[in-house]
Amino acid sequence: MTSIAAYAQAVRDALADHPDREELLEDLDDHLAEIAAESDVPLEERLGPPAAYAEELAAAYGGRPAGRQRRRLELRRRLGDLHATLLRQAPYRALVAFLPELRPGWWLLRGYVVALLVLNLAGRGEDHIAPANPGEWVVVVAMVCASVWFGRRARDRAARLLAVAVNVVAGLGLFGGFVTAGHLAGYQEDLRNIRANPRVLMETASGVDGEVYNIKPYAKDGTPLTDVYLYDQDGNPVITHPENHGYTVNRSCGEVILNRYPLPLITEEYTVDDSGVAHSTAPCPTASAPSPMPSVPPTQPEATASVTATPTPAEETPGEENPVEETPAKPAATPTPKRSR
Amino acid sequence: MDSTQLLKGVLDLAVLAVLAERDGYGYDVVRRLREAGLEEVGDASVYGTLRRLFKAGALNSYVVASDEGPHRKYYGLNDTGRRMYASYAGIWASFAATMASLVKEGHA
Repeated sequence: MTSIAAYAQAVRDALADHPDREELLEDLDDHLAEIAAESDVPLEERLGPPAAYAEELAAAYGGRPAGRQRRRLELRRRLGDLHATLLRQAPYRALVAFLPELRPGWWLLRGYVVALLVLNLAGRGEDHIAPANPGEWVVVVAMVCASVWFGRRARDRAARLLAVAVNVVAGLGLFGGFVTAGHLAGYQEDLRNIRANPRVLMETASGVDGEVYNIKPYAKDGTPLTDVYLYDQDGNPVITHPENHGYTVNRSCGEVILNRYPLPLITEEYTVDDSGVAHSTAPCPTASAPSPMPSVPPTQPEATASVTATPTPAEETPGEENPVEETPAKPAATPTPKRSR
Repeated sequence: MDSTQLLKGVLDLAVLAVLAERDGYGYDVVRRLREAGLEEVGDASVYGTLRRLFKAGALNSYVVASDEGPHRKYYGLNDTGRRMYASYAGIWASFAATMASLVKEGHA
């Protein structure tokens, strides 16, 4: 009798995911007993392996495509074998025994995550990871109750499938929540940094890729000015951040003053020599040297070129008072420079 | 050509024919099909077919207690099953006649 029960159980296991399993296998045991009663030859020899029997049964009954089913059975069998092997290890046994105790915790978390997912999808505000108002708290509590109720319910097949789907969604939502929380933490850290070191934040008015990283002052008559020191209304130096745009201030030509514009910018193309000293391959900038900024076309008359020659920053005394005055006056005829952008 | 492939297409009709003769339990149906000449019919195929026809509402079933062996669940045709049998039998007769004449011509 035990061989019949074992064979029937193996067939049941092989058809574990059949949608009509109970109906299909209702009187399998009696049927197998009838066959076994007829002869002493073991069932396995007369009917073939249980998995093959199950497959033939499902094919005659109208089951899933045989190939797909076979692959699934194979995978299931392998997972079953692995599980059985691991069960011989005490730590794995302890883990398997402990996991069900975590279930109620997961039900609570799942309800919370699904509620927040729904609120974030339905709401128009920014994504958030905690309820923002009493209404949202009501939704969260309702969803948590629903999740626990659903978790405690007796499981039929449809409910199990739904549970798997909900768990997957909640798992993805949880992951999304972690990512959002990470962004929020980074944002809050930025805010803290800004409050700790107040700096002038440059908002663009020029439309150059949305942010200003260098400033090119011009005199009233269109002359490009160099070595202009800029301060805000409180007397703080106006500092840009060219390093955020792939440029760096060239420090190889003397001391650099970060609020003296235009900044001598170079692209961050350094070569590092054997001594480990990084140095730029770019030449020391002068006011007329090409810069990474959109340059002003040379529209000035030839005659004024020698007059307008401005000293390089290296020749200057940094922090000089009224550096603007160093720029010589121009003939009034100098055309207004055309911005290239 | 493998006769088990042909059998797959007509197993419903074969099972209905056996049960139209008289009611039977699962293994009894298998045995009677084999005795009729369908030697290679698979036990699982017959069992699966019986369960499917039962689910489709073509069969009645009742359990008969047995002193020496297990309880036997007997299956028999109900009205739906008899209509199904008549319909399948008609289709089969026509199909078999067509095939017979086709194959005769092929031989000629």
